[in-house]
Amino acid sequence: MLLDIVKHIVKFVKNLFSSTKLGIFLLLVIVIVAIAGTLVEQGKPIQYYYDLYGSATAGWIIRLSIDKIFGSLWMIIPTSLLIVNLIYATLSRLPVMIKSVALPKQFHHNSKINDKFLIKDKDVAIENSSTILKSYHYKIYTLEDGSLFAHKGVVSRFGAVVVHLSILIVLFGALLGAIYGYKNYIAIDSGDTELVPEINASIKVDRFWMNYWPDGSIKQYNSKLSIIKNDKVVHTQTIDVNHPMDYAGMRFFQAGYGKSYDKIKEAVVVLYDRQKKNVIGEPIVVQWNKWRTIGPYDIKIVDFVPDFYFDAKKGYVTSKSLEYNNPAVRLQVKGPKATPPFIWEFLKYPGFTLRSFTGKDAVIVSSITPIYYTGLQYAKNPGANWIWFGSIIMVIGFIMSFFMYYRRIYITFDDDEKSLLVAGVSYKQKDLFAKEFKKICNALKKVEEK
Amino acid sequence: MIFSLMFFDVTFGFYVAAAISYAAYSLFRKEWIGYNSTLLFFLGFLSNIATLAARTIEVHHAPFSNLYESMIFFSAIVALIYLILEFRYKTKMFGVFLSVFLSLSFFVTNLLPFRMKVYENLNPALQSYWLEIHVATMFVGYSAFAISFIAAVLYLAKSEWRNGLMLKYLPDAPVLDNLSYKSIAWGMPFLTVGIVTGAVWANYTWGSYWSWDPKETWSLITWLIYAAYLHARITRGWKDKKAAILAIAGFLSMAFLYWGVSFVLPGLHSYGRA
Repeated sequence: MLLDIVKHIVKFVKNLFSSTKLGIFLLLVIVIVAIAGTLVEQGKPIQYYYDLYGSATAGWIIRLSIDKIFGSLWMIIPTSLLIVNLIYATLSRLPVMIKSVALPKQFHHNSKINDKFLIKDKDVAIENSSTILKSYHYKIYTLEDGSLFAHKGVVSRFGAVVVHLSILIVLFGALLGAIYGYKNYIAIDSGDTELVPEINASIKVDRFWMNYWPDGSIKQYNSKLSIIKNDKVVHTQTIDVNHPMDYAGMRFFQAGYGKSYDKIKEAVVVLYDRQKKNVIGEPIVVQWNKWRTIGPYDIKIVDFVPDFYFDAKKGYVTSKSLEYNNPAVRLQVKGPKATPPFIWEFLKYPGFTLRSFTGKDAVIVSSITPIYYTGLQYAKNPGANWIWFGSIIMVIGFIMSFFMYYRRIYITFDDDEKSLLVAGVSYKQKDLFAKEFKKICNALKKVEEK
Repeated sequence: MIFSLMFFDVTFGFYVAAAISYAAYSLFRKEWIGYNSTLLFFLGFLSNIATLAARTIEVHHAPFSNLYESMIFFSAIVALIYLILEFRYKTKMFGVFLSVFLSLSFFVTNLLPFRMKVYENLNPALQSYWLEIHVATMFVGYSAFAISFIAAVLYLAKSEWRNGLMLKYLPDAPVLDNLSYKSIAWGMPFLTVGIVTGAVWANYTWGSYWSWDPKETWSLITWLIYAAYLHARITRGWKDKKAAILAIAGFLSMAFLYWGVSFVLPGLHSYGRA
C-alpha cells in the first residue's frame, strides 16, 4: 500500500521533470520575474522605494526582495528547477534519439513518401542507387533483408541535446563568476600613484586626457598607466573606453573621470594694492606645494577644498560635497610682520580675504587649474571564458537542429526483382525532404532509362 | 543630412504605394497589378538601401548608432527577407501586410523628434567594431522575428476565420505556421549571437558581461519566450494556437526591447534619448 503510494509519487515526479510543459511553464515564470525586475528599479536605497511607492507597497517590495530580484529566490528557484527539468528531460529522451538513428531491420513498407519503377538488372540498379545517394552525401548500408538503407543528417537529431548542454556550460560559467568573480573601483589623480593590493603592485597615472570631436563633444577618455612593483616600472599602457589593460589576471577599465577634490595643479595669483585698489605687476603661476615669491610675500598652495565649509563646532574646514560649488585654496604665506601665516582664498569671491592682509599689498588667487582623476574599474571574471565557450556550442546546436535535418531512404525490389521500390522518411523539414526525394528518384529513373 | 532625409521620404512613399498596390492585387487578382506591386516594393527597398548609404556617408559610421538609423536598417532587412520569400514561395499575399508594416515603421520613425534624426557623434563606449557586429546580428534577428510575427498573426486569423475577408488568398495555415517557425529558426541564432556579442563587448568596455540592465534583461526575456515557443511546437496540443501566441508574445517583447526600453526604462543602453 505505502509502497504503491511511493511508486506513484516517484512516477509523478519523473513524469513532471521529463515534461516539456514544465519547461515552458518555468521559462515563462522566469520571464515574469525578469519583467518585474525591469519595472521595479533594482538595488536602490530603501528610501527610494518609500518615496516612490508609499510605505505599504515599499514594505512588501523590501520583504519580498523585489528590489534585488535577480539574485533572490524568485530567480534561483525556477532556474534551479529548470536546470533539473532540462537535464532529466534531455537524458530521458536520449535513448529514443539514439534508437531513431539506428539501422532498421528491413524496408519501410508503409511510408507515405515512396516511388516505384521498372529496372533492367538488380545489381546494376543497386550500384546506381549507391552512386546517386553518395552524391547526395548519404551514408549507405545493406539491411538484413538485403535492401539498401541510406540516411543523412544524423547529428541534427542531437541538436537539442547540444543546445541544452551549452546552456549548462553558460550557467556554470555564470556560477563561477558569481562565486569567484571580483570587481573594484579606484580613483587616482593624474600624476599620483596608488597601491592596488589585489595585484600586489601600485598604479601610477602618468596622464589622463580627453579627445574631442570637432563640435566639442567628447570623443574619448584616455589614461596612461604605469604599473610599479618594488619601485620599478614593470608595465606601461594607455587605456581608453574600449581598450582595457590586462595585468596579473585583473582587467583595468577606463570607467570614469572627474576633478580631484583635494588637490589642484596650479593657481594664478596676483598682487593687489589695497590703497589704490588695483592689480600690481604681472600675475604669476603657483604650482601645488611649491614656494613662489610675489611682491613682498612668499606663498605656497597647501590645501584645497571644492566646496568650502567651516565646521564651527569642531573648528576645522571641510568640503560640503565633491562638486566645485565653492572652491577654496589655502595658501601658506611668509612676508612682513603681521602677515597671516595661512589664508583661505575663495575663487568665487576674489578679494574676500583682503582684510586679512594688514600691509599695503594683498594676494588674490584669480584662477585655478584642476587636476583630473581617472576612475579605474578593475575586475576578474573566471567564468567569462566558459560563457563564451558555451555560447559557441549553443549556436552550433541551433545550426544542427534548425538548418540540418535527419532523413532516411530505403531501397528494395519487388518479389520478381523487376521493379525498384523507394521509400523515404523525415521527421522535420518535410517540404524540403519531399523535394529532395523527388530529385533522387528522378535521377534513379534517368540512369535506368539509359 | 539632406540626402538621407530625402531618400527616407521617397522610401516611405514607395512602401505606401506598394501597400496600396498589393491591396489592389489582393482584391482584383490581376497579373499586371501584382507585377506593379513587386516593382514598387523593390523600388522602396532600393531607396531604403540608398537612405542607408547616404546616411553612412553623412555620418561616417555604420548607420545604426541610434533609434532613427537603426529603424531604417531594420526595415531594409525586413524588406530583403520579404523579397526572398516572395521569390521562393511564389506568392504575393504577404505583400500587403509587409508593406503596411514597413509603412507604419517609417511613419513611427518619422515621428521621432528632429534632434534624434540629425548627425550624432559616437560616444566613447560606442566607438568599437563590436558596435557593427552586435547591432547587425541583433537586427537580423529582429527582422526575422518581425516576419514570424506577421506569419503567426495570419496563421491565427486563417485558422480562426478560415476564408473570411481576403484570407482565402493566403497560403494554407500549415504553410504560415511553417514560415513563422522558419523565421524564428533564423532569428534565434542571430538573437543569441547578438546577446553574446553584446556581453563580450560589455565585458570589454564596462568590465562585466551582464549587469541586468533593462535592455539586457529584455533581450533575455525575448530569448526565453522564443525558447518557450520552440518547446511548445514539439509539445502535443500546444503546437498550433499556443505556439502562435508565443510567437506573437516574442515579437511584442522584442518590440519593447527595441523601442520601449529606450523610452520607458533607464539604463546603459538609452542612447536613443541622448
